[in-house]
Amino acid sequence: MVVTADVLSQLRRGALEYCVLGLLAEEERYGFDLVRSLGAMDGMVTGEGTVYPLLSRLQKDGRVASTWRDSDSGGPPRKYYAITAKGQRALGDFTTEWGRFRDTVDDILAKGTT
Amino acid sequence: MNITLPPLAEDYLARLDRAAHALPPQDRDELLAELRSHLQAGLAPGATDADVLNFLAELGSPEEIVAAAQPEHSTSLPAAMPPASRWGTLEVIAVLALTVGTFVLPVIGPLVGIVLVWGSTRWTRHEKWIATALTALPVVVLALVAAMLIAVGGDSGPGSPVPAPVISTEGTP
Repeated sequence: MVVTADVLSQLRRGALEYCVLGLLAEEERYGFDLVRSLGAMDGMVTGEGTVYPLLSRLQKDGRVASTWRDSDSGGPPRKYYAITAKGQRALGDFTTEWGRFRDTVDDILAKGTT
Repeated sequence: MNITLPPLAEDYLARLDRAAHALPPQDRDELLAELRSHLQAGLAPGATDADVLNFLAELGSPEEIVAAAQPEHSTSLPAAMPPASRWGTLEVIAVLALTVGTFVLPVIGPLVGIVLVWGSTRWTRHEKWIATALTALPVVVLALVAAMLIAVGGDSGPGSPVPAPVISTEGTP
């Protein structure tokens, strides 16, 4: 592949937090579940553990909220994350901007290859 | 609840704990609790060493995770914020009170300066103690010297040998 890993990692880094918000907009999730879902998506995260500092930052920004709760199966406590109203707005804004950005890039790339 | 993790997983958490030293204590505790919970959720009781190593490889290295927790990694703030200045109006007045104030208003000037130093939100507790010690030190030294002079003077009384007068008395016939 000609595209350097650095370019992909920068694109990923910018989009990752909105993918986290997008997953949480569907439903509340606990850390492990969320991290494994992201890890299973092709090329989304390199080190799954790096999602935890991201979640912490999103929480400090007020875009997600979290609570520690006992798991249903009687296992160790789990930290559940949910999207906040502020997070919903940020996700909405990004979704619009991302669509425009993707279309623009697609147009330019289509011209370049034809 | 306490669930024992395989030794390899505990080693990993210990490495994370060491790597996370630079983080604020609250962030560090939270990060460790999250990853412990992650390992407990993801590792089955009978996991082999190979299973554990694979699982840890997917997590990434502790150093990588801590790097992601550093402020400069933030995507919302691409350029590092300039550190807040260590010098505000209060700090300048405090230093002036501690220096010039000593001569203009002895005792009161330095006391006001120390109160201002401790009221600063820009200086660390460590720096505040240094400022206090530097101000108090000359007072303590002077007090000690004075106490020693009084003690010495009291011991030897009026006949204490002072070089200059001795020389002058020898010179006179």
